[in-house]
Amino acid sequence: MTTPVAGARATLTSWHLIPLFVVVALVIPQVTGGSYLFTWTAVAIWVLFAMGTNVVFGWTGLLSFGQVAFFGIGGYTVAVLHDRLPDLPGPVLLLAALLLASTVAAVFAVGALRTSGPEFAVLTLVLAQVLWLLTYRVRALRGDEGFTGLSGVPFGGDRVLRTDQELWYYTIAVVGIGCFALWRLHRSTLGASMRAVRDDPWRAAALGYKVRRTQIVAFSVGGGLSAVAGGLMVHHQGVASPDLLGFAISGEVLVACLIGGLRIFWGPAMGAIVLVWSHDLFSGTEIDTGLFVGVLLLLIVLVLPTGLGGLPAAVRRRRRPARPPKGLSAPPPGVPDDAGSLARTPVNALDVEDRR
Amino acid sequence: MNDLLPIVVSGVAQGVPIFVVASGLTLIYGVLHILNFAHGAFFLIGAYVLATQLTSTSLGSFVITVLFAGLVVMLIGMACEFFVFRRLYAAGSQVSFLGAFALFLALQGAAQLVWGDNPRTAQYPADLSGATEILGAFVSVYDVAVMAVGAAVAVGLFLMLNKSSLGSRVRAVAQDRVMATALGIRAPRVSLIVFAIGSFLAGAAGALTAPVTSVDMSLAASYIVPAFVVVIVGGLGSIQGALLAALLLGVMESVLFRYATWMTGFSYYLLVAVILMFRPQGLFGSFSRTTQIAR
Repeated sequence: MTTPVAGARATLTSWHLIPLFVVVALVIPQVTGGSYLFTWTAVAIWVLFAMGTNVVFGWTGLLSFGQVAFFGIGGYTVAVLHDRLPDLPGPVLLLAALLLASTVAAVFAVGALRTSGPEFAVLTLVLAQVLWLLTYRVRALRGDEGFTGLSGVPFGGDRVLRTDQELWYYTIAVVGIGCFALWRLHRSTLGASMRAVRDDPWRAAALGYKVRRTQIVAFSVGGGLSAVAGGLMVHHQGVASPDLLGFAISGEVLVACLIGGLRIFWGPAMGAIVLVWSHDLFSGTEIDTGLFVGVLLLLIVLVLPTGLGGLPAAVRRRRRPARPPKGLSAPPPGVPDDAGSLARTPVNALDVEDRR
Repeated sequence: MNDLLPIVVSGVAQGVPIFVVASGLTLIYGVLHILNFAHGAFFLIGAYVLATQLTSTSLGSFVITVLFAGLVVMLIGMACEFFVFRRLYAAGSQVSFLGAFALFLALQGAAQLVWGDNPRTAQYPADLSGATEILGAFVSVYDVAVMAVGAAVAVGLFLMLNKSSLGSRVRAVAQDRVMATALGIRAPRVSLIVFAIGSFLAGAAGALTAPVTSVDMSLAASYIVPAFVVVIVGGLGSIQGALLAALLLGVMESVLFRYATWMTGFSYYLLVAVILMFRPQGLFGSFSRTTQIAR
């Protein structure tokens, strides 16, 4: 029996996923309505945000506390353009947000990646804080007032998408395209080199990968997709205000990635679904977002560093602790056997292939 | 000169609380390799404790309340170390960093739950209000007092680290944790003590800042980010670096406030960008620690 070429198999699988996605996109508005559909739209946006962030965080291993900066750039780009030129169709606005944010991200990364680790994380935080300040200092961005009345999405000609249903289809289409692009990227050689850079930058450099160039590209892609999510969020909420650049959102998106599992392609999407819905449960109570997100993140870091996606493997390990899988000898001591663990980077990257 | 002195004094006085927070941060980083985000929340809690517990304007009760705020925060910090960070040491710095961020959000949220959203104010102690004349220029007495505290903290930390037996244990653990343990130093205990000192300083700094600002939830972010910048600019793990960077930034901010108001708030970020362009390891940092991979 011949084994199919990895690339060909990937194409087949990704084409299979499209109908599934379309079915979900069509079924959800049929079975839910009103405020539920509104929340599902938020879920879809967060899926894109988390998946984009995971390119930086999970695939390339760069810890960024400033992902909200790009979310905000996207939101404000869409808001300002929509305000000045109300006739521009929505996809054009999102494209502008994508281009602007990925450029800013690339320029920032070229400078900031002279540092690494904690210094880099702090620099991303500084970027977010600078942008937050700018919303108050630049008069065109209107400070606390922000922009309102953005909920209708112009869609070419006189068509304006206004109802929850229309907005859902628009959002899910954009999110679908974004996720599909990410899927292709994940399967590409560029995606593979991102993971190589994450697992062992020295070895990757020795093998001829351009480590910093790969990191810059990843940061730029992550920033661009976060901006698209930000733009969608502005249309979803109908307002753009400095809250869009809030500190806690950066934390929330990392939580979404961690809940699902960093090294599983769909992990952040699962995480986003869990996060937004559990958020929704607490929205009526006194409990503050920060407290909720903080406690959740703390629990994940302490108890379940592999995320929900890593749960089956953990359960399997617990059930049959000592027996190695059939046909394989036991792994050498010191090599962790789960690929999803955030805590330990695998010693040998080739031992561990990313799960799909 | 008469014009410049008050600006420099108020700049230095602005830099001092940031230095006090940053010295705790950099101490903890040096020993535990954790950039402790939760320090922002520690600072916030210190400020709230002072704003709610201070009852009279006498100097004595002010000093006692500042120490009390420091102690409360110290206990919280020790609990954080004991229950959270101790479990994360083995997992690497990225996980600890996330844990610290989680603690920051959770503690800030808890503070909001306890004290609510309304901003609070605290009064100056009566003996330290008003202004005094130095070299023909008027400077606020409270600023001078804060500068004295900053100098005391800097000297105290220097003596503690370089002259005491605790200091040599701290330096040993910072240099090589495993080797220090092998030689009989109880590294977990040293970590706990370092955390206690760091969080005490953060709480006290928060309490000292409470009279000069409005105490609300934004305080955490607006002090932790400059403190991080100071730690990075000074070089991670270096207390002299933190002192120099904090004073530099404080004075710069104060000068900008006077001569280019629209630039205030950005000076930190400009400085960090410029310095990291030329010295990615910070002013006093060691290069070996920073991961540099060409291209």
